[in-house]
Amino acid sequence: MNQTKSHLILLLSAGILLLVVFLLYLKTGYFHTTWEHVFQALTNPSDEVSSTVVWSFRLPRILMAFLAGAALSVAGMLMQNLFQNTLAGPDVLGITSGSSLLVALWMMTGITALGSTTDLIFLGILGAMGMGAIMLLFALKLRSAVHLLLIGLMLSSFIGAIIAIIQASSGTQDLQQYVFWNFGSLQRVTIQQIPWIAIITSLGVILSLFQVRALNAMVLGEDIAKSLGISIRQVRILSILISGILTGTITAFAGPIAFVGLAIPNVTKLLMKTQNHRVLLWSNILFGALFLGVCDFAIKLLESYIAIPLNALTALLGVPFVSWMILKNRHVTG
Amino acid sequence: MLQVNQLHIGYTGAIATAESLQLNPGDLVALVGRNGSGKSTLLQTLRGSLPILSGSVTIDEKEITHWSPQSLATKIAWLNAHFTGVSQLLVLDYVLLGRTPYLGILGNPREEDRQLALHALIRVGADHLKDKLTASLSDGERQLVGLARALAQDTPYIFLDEPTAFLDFYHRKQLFTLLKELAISEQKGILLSTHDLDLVIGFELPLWLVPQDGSIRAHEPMQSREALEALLI
Repeated sequence: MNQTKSHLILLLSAGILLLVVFLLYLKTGYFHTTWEHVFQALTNPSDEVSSTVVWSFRLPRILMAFLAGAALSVAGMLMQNLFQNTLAGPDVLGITSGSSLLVALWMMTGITALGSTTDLIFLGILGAMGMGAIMLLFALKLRSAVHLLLIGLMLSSFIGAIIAIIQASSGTQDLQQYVFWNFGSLQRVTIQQIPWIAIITSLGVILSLFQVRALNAMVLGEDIAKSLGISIRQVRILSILISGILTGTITAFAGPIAFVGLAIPNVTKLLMKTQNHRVLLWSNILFGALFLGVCDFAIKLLESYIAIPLNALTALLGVPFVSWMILKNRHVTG
Repeated sequence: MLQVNQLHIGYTGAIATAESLQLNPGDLVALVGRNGSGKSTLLQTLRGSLPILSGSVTIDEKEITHWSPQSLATKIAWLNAHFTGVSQLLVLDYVLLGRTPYLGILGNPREEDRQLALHALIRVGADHLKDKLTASLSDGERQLVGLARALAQDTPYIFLDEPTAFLDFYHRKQLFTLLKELAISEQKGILLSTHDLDLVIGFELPLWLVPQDGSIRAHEPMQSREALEALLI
């Protein structure tokens, strides 16, 4: 009972902080807005400049930060569970690099000369799903999860090599465009796209909820999980599928955001002190959203002094914090 | 009753065969053989983790070959010596995982499942460990709570793969005593693979022998270690 209570308190605090970050974010920026402007824009968006700034620029960006943080953390949790390895994350299956490859081709070779942002998003998802499908085929063939992890890491390197060749042989302008995409950014998303991203992310979360029984058993290793009645094949397929959908969508819209999917699931486990994946799932959603929301808020505050790429800040803020948490917990057995 | 008939086991080619073996609820049977003789392969095959090459394995006269993992999990519980604990996993939550085959689609344990898990811990005399972390247990405690998880799974059969491997003599004897008690009081058919020939003889356990020629067969309890060793060559 005691543990349940402390879980609720932690989740509630995260929820309140999330709301605080959300409101502060909407109020803060170059263009001066009052609280009145913010609430007016939220309840009754109009053509006024203050309303446009809040509704069309700030709102989609903070919502995208929350969605991306939540989605990538859940994907990371699933991957760490599947491979029983705390070093796993959404990028290890090559899913992120699948997106990167198609985006690199689009930006730097003009192979798909269709040329609109919608194509970029479509390609990002297609690349992620394609790599997800390849990994699924391996998942059905291979007995050992470590071999699957190895294949994923190698495929990422393989795709990285192809992208390097494309980069080396492309013009300055194209190269710059790709580099900026690669920095990760939450600014490209429009308010009209947010509901779609929210629906896909929710779909991933709902599918994960039906996986809780299997995820909990997988903690004991595939052999024991199987003896507890879990179909390992089904877990692998669903975990890869859900991670693919979540990571692919976010990467398509915001570029490859590093670190979140690796760090947040580990932090969550340390904070919640449980292996119950129902608790871990909700915690990852809230902590992931909060982390990326705070990161983007910091980027926004520093914007007038220095332009920090999202991918740089997640690591700059995250690495000291996670290292501190690990040091603090080093005396706790296990 | 778990019944084995004309069974050929192995990965690609047969490494061992068993003409006829039976395991009844209430039995504690020791599976003995030298390293690499095929003990683990037999256990893996019987719990449906390795395909049968030919022959049959039945539980209550039903072939297990085409059972889903879930229905097999309500018949056979399985415990190995390799579990070293999982970070942040409490003992009671670990034992509760034994209830996995009975949980609904959302995987939420009911109060009844919690009671069964607690009961299983009490049954093996380890309820004082319930709030400890699995990773902080000693080897002896880990085998006890593992056994509790197997009991919580509420199956007529329990397989143990070298459960005494990391235990000192005192804990080995304690575990054998407990297993014998459980087989009778809980009416479990318990099959354990072991190299502890002295204890197998001391507890007068019926045997499944896995000799080097690969012809697995049942045998009466034996009196002398030399005679038993001779049968395993």
